[in-house]
Amino acid sequence: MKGLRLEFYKCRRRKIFLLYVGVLIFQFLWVGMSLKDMDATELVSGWQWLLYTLSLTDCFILPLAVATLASRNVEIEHKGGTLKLLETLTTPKKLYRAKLLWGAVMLAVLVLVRSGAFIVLGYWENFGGAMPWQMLGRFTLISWLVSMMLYLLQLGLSLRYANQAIAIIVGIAGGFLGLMSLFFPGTLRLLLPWSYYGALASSGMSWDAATSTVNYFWLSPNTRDLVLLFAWMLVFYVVGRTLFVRKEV
Amino acid sequence: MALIRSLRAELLKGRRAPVWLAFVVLPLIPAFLGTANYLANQAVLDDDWYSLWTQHTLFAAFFFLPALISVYCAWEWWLEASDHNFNSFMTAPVPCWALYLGKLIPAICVSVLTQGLIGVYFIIGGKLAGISDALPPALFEWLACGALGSTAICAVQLFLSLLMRSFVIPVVLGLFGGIAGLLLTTQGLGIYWPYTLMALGMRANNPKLVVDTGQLALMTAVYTVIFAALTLRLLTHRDVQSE
Repeated sequence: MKGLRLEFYKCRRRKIFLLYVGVLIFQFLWVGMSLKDMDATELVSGWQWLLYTLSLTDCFILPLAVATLASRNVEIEHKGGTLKLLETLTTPKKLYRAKLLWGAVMLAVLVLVRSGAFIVLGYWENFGGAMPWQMLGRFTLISWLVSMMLYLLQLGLSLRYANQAIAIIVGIAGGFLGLMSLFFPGTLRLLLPWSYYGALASSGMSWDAATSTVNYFWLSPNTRDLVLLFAWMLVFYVVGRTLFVRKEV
Repeated sequence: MALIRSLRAELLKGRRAPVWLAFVVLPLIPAFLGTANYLANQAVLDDDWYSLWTQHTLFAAFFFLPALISVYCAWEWWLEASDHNFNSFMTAPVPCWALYLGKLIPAICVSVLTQGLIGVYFIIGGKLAGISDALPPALFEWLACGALGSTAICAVQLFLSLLMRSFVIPVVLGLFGGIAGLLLTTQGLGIYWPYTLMALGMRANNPKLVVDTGQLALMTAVYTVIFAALTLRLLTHRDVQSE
């Protein structure tokens, strides 16, 4: 607990809220611009549309946000040469756990604030039907889980390599692959950790070329994909943690 | 003379660094995916090389390359910021402008290299996709204008990375610069925004676009000179804190 509190303390001037503001602005702009061209008939399936659009933008923006978050937290340790000091006071295992919990809390805040903001938007814009609380909850949970999986990867990279270029390049490449993965066939996607925002999306879209209408529908994530998600988490956790624990500081 | 010495020093610093690898490997992703997307949607993309070009460059020029160049610029200052290197950097017996050009010129070289590779990957992708037409005659011009425009991004990012002492934040800003550029381009204001000059030069989403090369060069020069001056001012007036 002390370790976790110290992580928050270390990052209090790191302007992480600016990162959150950036993510929200990006998604609001994206959603807002698509919303402008929609009429009342299309807004009937507004919630499905919203969650579909959000998982689309997540694919691109969240890998980057997660990479930035992990790097912001770890960068100070490399810069200040504090690992040597910290490991006389605590064990690397505990330090890793503190950083992991810190990321879990920070990412939970991010996805919760994001969901809250878009619930307000949907309410404001009179999206059709009752509020799909269950779907919104599931969407938030999945965003958090996928982000945690990527956080485990990025935390491992940021801790292992003092040169943060490596972690950030992986984040950028991941965001790009995540976006492009939306065009991939289903099974190929599962090989890319960054594409799970799209693979586990809460709603889908189908385009009817004959009538040129778009239909949105709810999706439920299948068990195989969820199992794979947890498998990725486990791999990144074990590898990242082991590399850090064995690292010579 | 001073410039040559600082360039040689920078070459030494980068000798064993694998950063250049990112510029060789990462453009393969948009090239590969662009070609795949082109093959999958041939019904809509029926303009051979020109359609392929949009697939290869649209995401790359607005999202990918600005961020990659930002990483390189951030890395150049990160080298100095770590292990007290700034102290010896600032006391090197060369004037500050030479030190700065020692950072700017390699960044430009790397983006020229990237443009070259994009061209190579584009031709390979097209051959693999079975396009039999002659290469678009303007290909070289697209790449050259792209390299020209990227100079502005290098100058802006070197300034931001020196200003903020953080590795990641300037990179994120560079990325948002690219995304904002996409929005500004749709409004027709792309030419006034440093991050879009490269994409406009490359004709990223529209190879038939007519771009006023003179204006492009002028805007690039304006941004480069302004941000070079700001960076030099920062370099000469701020106390070095390399922790």
